[in-house]
Amino acid sequence: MLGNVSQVSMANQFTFNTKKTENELQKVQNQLSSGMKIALPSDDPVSAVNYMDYDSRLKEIQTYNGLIQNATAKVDYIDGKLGSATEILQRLRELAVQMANGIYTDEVRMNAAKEVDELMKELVSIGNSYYKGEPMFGGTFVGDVPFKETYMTDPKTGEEYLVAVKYIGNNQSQIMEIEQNEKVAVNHPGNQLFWAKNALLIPSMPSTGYTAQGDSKIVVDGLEVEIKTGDTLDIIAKKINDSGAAVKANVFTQNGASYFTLETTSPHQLSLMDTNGGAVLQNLGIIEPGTQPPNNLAPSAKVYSGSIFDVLIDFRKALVDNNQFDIGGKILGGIDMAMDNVLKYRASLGAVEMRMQTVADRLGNEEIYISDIRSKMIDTDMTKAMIDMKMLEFSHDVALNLGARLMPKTLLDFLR
Amino acid sequence: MLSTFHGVELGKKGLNAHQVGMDTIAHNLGNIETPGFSKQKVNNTTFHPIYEPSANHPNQAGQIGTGVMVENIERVKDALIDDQIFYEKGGLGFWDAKQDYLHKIEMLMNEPGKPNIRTVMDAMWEGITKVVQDPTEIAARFELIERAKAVTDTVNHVYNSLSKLQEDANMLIIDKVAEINSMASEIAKLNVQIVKSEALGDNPNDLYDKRDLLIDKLSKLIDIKVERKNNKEVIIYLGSENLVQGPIFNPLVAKSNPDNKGFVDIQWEDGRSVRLGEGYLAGLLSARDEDLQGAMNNINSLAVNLTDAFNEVHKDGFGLNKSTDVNFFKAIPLSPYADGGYDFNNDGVVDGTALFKVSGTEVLKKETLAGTGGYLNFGPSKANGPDIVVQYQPTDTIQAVMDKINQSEAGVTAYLNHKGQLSLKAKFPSDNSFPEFAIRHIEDSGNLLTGVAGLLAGSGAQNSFDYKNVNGIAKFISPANNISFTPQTNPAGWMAVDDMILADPQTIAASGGIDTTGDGNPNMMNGLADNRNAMALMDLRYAKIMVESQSTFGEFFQSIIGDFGERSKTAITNFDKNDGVVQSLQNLKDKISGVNVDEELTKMLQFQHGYNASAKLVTVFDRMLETILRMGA
Repeated sequence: MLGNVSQVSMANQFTFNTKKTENELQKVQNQLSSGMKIALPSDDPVSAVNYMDYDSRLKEIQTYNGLIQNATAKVDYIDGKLGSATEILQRLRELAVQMANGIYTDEVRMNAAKEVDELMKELVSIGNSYYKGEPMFGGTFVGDVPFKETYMTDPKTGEEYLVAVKYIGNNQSQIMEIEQNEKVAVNHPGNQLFWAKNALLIPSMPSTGYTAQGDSKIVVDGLEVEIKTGDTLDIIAKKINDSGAAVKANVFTQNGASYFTLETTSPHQLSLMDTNGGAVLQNLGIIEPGTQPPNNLAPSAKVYSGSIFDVLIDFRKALVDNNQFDIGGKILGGIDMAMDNVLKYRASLGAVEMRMQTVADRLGNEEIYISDIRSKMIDTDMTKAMIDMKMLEFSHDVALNLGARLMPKTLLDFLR
Repeated sequence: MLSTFHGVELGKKGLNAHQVGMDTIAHNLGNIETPGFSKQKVNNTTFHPIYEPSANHPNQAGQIGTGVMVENIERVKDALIDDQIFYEKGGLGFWDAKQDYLHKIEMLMNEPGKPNIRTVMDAMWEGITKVVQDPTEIAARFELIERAKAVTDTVNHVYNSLSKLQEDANMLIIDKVAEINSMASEIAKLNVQIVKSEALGDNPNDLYDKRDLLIDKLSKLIDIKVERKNNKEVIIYLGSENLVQGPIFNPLVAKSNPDNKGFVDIQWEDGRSVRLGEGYLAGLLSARDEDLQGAMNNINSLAVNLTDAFNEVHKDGFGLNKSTDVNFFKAIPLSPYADGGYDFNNDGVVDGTALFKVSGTEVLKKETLAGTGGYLNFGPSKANGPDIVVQYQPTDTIQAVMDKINQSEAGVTAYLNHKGQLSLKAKFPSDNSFPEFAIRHIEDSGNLLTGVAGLLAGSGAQNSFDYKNVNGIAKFISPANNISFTPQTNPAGWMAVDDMILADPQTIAASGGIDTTGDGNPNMMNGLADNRNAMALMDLRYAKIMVESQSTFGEFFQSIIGDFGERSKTAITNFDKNDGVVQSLQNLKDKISGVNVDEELTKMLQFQHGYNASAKLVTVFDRMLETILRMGA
């Protein structure tokens, strides 16, 4: 080494080195006491960013688990209710078959009619059931029970019986998100679940030669269909048929007059609306201006639609009027269709539940995996940290010891 | 013939010289701890020997030595190492300042592991899912409000702390400039004293040491170079200008810059800017203007985009009390007028429009073909720069056109909003110019923005939107709901939940709706138990609409942390490296100029012996003379 070593430089070097060791010691101590390898992002920026990623994802998974549990409970509840409804429909079917074959007295028929009425009231009450304080089957309308009953009193017996059941909910399914960008429908509105027949709508007035006056949109069962200026009836019909709604539009001409008809392809209540300032459906005589779906069909139009309650009311009437032909015919058919419908929705809800279960399983696995990785990113390796600390302590001791012994000695100590 | 007292004279000279030697050693030992002290060394030389060749040269063997003389006392110093230290200290000072402030920024961000912006945002997303599950449940709404308030509070706090740090850095810069000026003036005074002393032939060693110490301190603050060739005028260069030139010094001025929030710039007295190079001062300036400002810009960008994205979705929804078109977060526009008009040059007259975002009216899909060709002009990306032009073909999909826009340097980002409408959102200006978050220019030569997207009313330059035009929003056919105005400056500082939401949680718009009037704004509610709008809010978590980097909010925040983590790590590494280098250079310097007690004591022994010998000489010569004098008695 060139030159000589001055006392001051020895002291400086000593201080510099002990400062470094003490810094290291403090870092390791921090790691041990906090349990985290990284105190600040600058210690290891890449790990810090990865940790943030995993931590957020973990919280996300926990949120989705909660959502899935909630949705599963709802679907289970609905399935239970639909199960009860199916049992009631079973009994009604038996009754229909029985009453369609054989001659019965008035008294027997009256009793049967009463049973039908009671079972129908039971079905209405299922349709109006509550979940967590709100009506379940009204779509997203929760202001009131969705199925409104109208009673009449029998003058002979003084008992009340149902003459009409009207659906006043809306037609929105309830949707829940169970994973990133994965949405499932966990509930369907009553006007899909409790419907029996396909709806058919024929306006009373013809619309020969109709062309759309301006650009607008119509909403069919929640799907938007764009109407451009100059669209004729055929083009409008084609657009509706291509839109993907469970509705078929038809233009049939009779005696030179064209009628624009709509028919559902699966049992549910038709929901139609004009939007974007247009009035196409109003002009075609299909809906009544100034009203909201689903009860906005033009009163002048001929509507053949059937909720299960309509079928059952007809059943009761047929029993009272001793109309065996109808019972064995369209009423039995209606009950069958209703049962099929309910079964169809039960199956789809079952599929939804299975899907949610699959997602929940997947999330469960991911949770374990991500917890593990997150811990690797940020948790202190206790063994390594303790060993580091021991080594640092030891070298720190040695340095201090030597410094104390060597530094103070100078020639002065040895001169007389 | 030699003088009688020649010997005594020789002894006297010896005593003198060794006395000076002892004094110098005492001086060295006394100053062992003094900072900046270089050990001094006595140089002895022989006195003029006699006799000179001349006419009266005595007839005697010559030349005879006449003893010892102190030639000079000089410092043991290596100027080269000093210059190296000055250079390295510049780097040390720079990274010291950077490391200090980057560390403070990191602590503010509070990652990993402690409650910070990311964790409160995660909690807010969770709060939204509770509303999604039970849209009619009031308790879930109260909780969402609390969590949203936590987000805004945290953003406010981080922003305000950063702002305060920036002001502190500015104050520190002003202080340091004053310190530099005072040190420079000291050096100039020392120069005068030193020149005076040198003129008399002396080595003013202690003054040299004082000057070198001041220069050393100065070198940590600014990047200086010392020019020593001319003794009478020692020059200290800063940049390529003279800071100190002999007795003259040029002071630095910290001039407040109104374009930079009144923060100071460093200039010479005549107004020219200073080339600072490295050093603590440069580090402070970099920390203030790049690191702190960058962090503040990032937080502002997060606040603006979060507010705007939330409000856009929230306004389309309906609350339990049938309210709609309500903002979720407060949106305070920069402009006090309803049409966004703003007085940019502060002359009292409205001279432009401050617009943040505009959406079209037509519903588009990513795969829709543009169907028309042309080019989009977004104006220059920096002052006096060229216009940024994006060309599009009829065969391009909407996604392709948006990608082109986002990859260009246009001052806007393009995306499809939750309804599928094409939206153009202003970016933070790349040259940090005012106004922030304002769209500069939108022009379309073809039909894309007019017919296909339903945004502009017409094509060409005369129908373009420019921020310098008053009532610029008249160029759009988008309805008022699709236009967002530039927020008031520093949105992160005032971000808050809207007052209407705070007053009544029923106003939170969880329910979706249908647009029956065709103006793009839903006006009929779906149903009280509908959660579609709440789900749209939840989907914002994954929407890649964070403007600056086309990422989600979470990813954007992660990238900020990663960026500052890296910067801080670099600063710490560089600081440690420079510290080590300076330390070893200091050691080298100390080896040469530092006082070693053993060496001094050894020399002291030598001088002691020499002194004793000379004293003995005097005594001996005295005895000899006595003998001669007693000869006659």
